[in-house]
Amino acid sequence: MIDDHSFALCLTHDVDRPYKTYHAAYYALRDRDPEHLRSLLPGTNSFWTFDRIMEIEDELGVRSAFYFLSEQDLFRERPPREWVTKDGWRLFGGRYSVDDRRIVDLIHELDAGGWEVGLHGSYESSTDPDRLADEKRTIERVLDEPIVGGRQHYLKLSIPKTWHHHADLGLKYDTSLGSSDDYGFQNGYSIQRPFDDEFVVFPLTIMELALPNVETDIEGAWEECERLLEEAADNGAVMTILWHPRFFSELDFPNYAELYGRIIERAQELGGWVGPPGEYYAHLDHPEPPITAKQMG
Amino acid sequence: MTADFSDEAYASLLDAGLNAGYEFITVREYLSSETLPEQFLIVRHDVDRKPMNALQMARTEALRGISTTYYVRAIPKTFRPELIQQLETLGHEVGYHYEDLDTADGDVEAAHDSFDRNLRRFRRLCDVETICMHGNPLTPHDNREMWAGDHSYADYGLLGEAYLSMDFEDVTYFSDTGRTWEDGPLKVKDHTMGEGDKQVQVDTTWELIDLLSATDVDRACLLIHPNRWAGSYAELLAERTKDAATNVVKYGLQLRP
Repeated sequence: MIDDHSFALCLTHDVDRPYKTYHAAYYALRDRDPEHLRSLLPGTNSFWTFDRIMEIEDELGVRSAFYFLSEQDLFRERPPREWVTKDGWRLFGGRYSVDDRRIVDLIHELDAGGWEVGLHGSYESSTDPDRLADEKRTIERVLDEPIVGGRQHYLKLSIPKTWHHHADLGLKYDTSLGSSDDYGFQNGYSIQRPFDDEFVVFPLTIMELALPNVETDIEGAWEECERLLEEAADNGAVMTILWHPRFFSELDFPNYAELYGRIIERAQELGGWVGPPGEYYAHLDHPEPPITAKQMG
Repeated sequence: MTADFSDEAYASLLDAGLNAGYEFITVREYLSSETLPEQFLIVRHDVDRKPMNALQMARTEALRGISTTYYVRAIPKTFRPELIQQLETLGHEVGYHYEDLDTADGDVEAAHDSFDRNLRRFRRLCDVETICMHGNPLTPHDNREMWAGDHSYADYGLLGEAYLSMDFEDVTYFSDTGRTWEDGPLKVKDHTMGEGDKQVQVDTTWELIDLLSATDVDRACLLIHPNRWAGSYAELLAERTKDAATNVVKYGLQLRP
């Protein structure tokens, strides 16, 4: 474990939807609340929460990782039959381009401020190494330095193939091993080394979506989070959490930002190390690679 | 003939300062130095829009070994992290061009909360020790008034504010607001505070160059908005048109009862 810390809490954010587009109308109808439509006005976008996240983490003295997605565009890159399907819109609608000026500026601001910028592999990239390589290059071109790791979109993994692709591309870690409807240490308390080498898997402990009734019963959700933190402290665990940036919008997802802050504060009280996976990875010692016949000979 | 308020005119202005023996110092250096040079120029840039123009000016200055001060607004149009870091890398001072009292609609406490957040954003990118207010002629507030109460720059670890902390009796102030160096009604909020009683006036950059070449003033502060200076004739024409329209509004504001 890093220094004298008893456990680690790794903070991550998947940048899926920084702009509230068609969701504004959907939420307005679902919640019968026209306030959601304000996000359609210029200069107002409740899903753009990055300033708030940076403030929260800065005040708590921590940093996290933001994984950026270079997803296919529904209308330019997907077949017309998908334009009218729910899955088409869910997977490929309302995304963003990593080359958007606001995204470029955001990536530079995060990087300059000490946050980690990583790769959020697109939906089809888990089995398509060429696509994944292209996405990695796209983000690294903006970042102007190599990416260390990331997470696959929708936690979509083909084990161990996807991790082989990651390692072949030079990625050092992945955080996709987990669930969007369950939380806990089902995948163990430690990092994993699927190839017994320097490539590391950080099992995902909590995705905010999986927590029960956060909007209506924050104390109930908090009890679950605190229980997991104590379990992590008792077992010297590496706990990794995922909070999507849009969940910091109080209008759209009440209580999630507060819960996130509480988790960090409690982890610090319990003596945990808190930070991005890339920084944790940098502190790790790795197994010696096996000596090959060529080296011996 | 070289057009006024063009990149070439700006380079000529800098060269005139250097040739006349002025030392160029930043606002930070002015506020932190125990002894100041006998003859100096402080070039202060307010980056209100067109941040790439600021970078162009920064390069022009760096080529001449000149360090100046860039005050950048915290709006998406100008808060460009990579550019801000480039300004600092080129050897210039970067400060926060604040307008928090405007954005908080006059609520001083809300303005300080906003100021604190924005200053921290800047400081994650660069070393900010001085600030300067942004004057929007269309708002009823003067952003400098957020310092009238209990709050001080020192609370934020700042050396000072470019309008409020300089001695304008000693340092003569020239501003390009309204695309003229002459003081008048076009400079709605761009005026110094205190007793600075200006003895000289110039209109064009060429007149300012003559003034500096003759070293008629020993110490001066030049406010230069990069967006007002153009790299091409088309940009100059567009900017002049925009300024003419803005000036009509400003004259109108002066005529209000």
